[in-house]
Amino acid sequence: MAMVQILLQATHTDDLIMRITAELHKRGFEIRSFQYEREEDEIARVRIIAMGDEMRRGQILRQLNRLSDIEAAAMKAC
Amino acid sequence: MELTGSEIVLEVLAEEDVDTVFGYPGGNILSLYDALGQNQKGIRHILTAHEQGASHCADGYARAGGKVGVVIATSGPGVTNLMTGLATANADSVPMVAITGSVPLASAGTDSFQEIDTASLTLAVTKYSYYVRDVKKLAYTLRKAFQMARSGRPGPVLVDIPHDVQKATCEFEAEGKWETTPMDIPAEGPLSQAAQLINESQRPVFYCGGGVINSHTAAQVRALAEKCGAYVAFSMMGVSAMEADHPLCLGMTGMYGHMEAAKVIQEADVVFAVGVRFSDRGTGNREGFAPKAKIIHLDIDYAEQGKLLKPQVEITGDFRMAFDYLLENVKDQTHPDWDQEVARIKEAYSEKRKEGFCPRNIIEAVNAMTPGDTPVATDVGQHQMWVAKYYHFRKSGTLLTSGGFGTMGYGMGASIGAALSTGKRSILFTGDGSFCMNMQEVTTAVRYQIPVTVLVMDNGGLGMIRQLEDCFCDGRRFSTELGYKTDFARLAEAMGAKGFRVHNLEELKKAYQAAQQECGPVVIDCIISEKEFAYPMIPPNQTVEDRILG
Repeated sequence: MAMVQILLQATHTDDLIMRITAELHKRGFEIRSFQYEREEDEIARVRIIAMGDEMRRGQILRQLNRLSDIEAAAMKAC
Repeated sequence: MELTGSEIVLEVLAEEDVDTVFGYPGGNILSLYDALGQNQKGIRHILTAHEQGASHCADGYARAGGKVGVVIATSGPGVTNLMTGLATANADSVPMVAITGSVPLASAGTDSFQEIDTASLTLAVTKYSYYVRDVKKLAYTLRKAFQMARSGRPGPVLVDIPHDVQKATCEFEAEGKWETTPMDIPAEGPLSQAAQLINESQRPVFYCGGGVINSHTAAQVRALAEKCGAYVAFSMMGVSAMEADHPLCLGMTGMYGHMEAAKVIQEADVVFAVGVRFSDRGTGNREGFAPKAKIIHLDIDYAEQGKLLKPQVEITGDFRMAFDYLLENVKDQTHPDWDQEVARIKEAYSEKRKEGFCPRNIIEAVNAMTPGDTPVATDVGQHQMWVAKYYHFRKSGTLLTSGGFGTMGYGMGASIGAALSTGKRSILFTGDGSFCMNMQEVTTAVRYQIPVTVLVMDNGGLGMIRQLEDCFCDGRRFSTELGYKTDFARLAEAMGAKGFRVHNLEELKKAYQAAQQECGPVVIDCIISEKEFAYPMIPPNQTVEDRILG
């Protein structure tokens, strides 16, 4: 298991937080910290620190990128 | 023009060329049903017996007809009843739009009658779910839902509309059907590597999944396989990706598939995996899957690349463009040594035929009396595996089955939807366990005189689970014996359908031919031995060498 930092830029929707946290939960990642900032009306920036299977790190990034509201996703090791 | 939310729904359905919707009315969808009842758009509504049945009908309608299936339900239990159908469509990438009513905005969040948070409830079983608070956003949201359902990797999208939003009015401007989002263009680098690997291969195999069916590229699969001398195996969702009687076709591989297909994959030096997600049922132990092969993976979904198995070459994007490139750059080849090796494997691993009223002979008899473009649905269980193995599919996309989610009770609705979208009599192969799950939809087929022939493989129990009990529970039986106590033929007659009970192939042929003369549904209860099983079987997480012969 490894700790990762995930950075997202997305179009804000009412249920965006729910979608992101559900995806992390589905793929077996445990959220340690979640920061959501809404910039202007439409843009959301999200910073997540999560613990998960090292082998699935690339996979969670691809799955988050698949969510239609996510515009950019990046990951850093913590 | 000024329209209500409900009228806007009908306008967008008409823009999308929707001619049939499936559903069930209720308090919080009443306004939409009222508008639907008065619609002049030619939209036909099929009232089912249960919302789950409606969702499977829409799924079957979409799979067989290549259109987006539409299902409508009310709030609360209407939505929860839809869930299994949405999950089934989501697992198998079927384009659907579900429209649900919900409590008026002022009541939302108060635990009012039939209230449920539909968007969050359905998040895990849909491609996307919308909650429309403002009637001004309804047309955009619906158009977006249809576009999303059919774009990229297809899937079900849900639009939840509060009852007061259905009744509210706003200005509506007609637009044409939104274009499907263009697919990614596959990168040339991986395509070139793939062509090189296939050209260098001496033992090539294609492993095809549902992506081939969804992208309508079965003809390209066959052309490329013939060009490079590759054998073709399927996952459950890929069955019908090549004509079953083609000399290069190996049939379904995997846990309950043709053992020779699994063995040929083990011996291959290149596996070209097309629109397949390497599900555990298909691959078994992934370390033992194609251990001698370099794997090329073509998929529409970037997130499927490397999810379960790391390929040597990843190609993401439009299948047609990928095949155009490969057909141009792959050399004409034959592999006589490989052909001999495959012939030897087939000889060693093929099943021996049985005589009498056994599943294989039943399926082959029906197959021989049925045109090749007939939609064939299954439920889930042993009969599903028998059909996938023994029915000789001749046209891509004619098998409708719940491969990913494994939904017992899927087939009755799916076969109704398929008959409506193709205008042909559809077939459902089911088991006595699966049929009991949604048999009430026979009443739907009776009401509208929808031509469906249901063949119940009646072995008096839950055969698939009995088989697992034999393999993993020392044969102890619990809750798997149903005991032939229900006469499904008489039950069908009571529901207004035609019913037959058959005990041998002669009776079956007579009943099936009689069914062809009927306008509505026919149920043929085929009494088979409880000792019929889906062997040989590869146990979970093992390989073909660990197969259980039964």
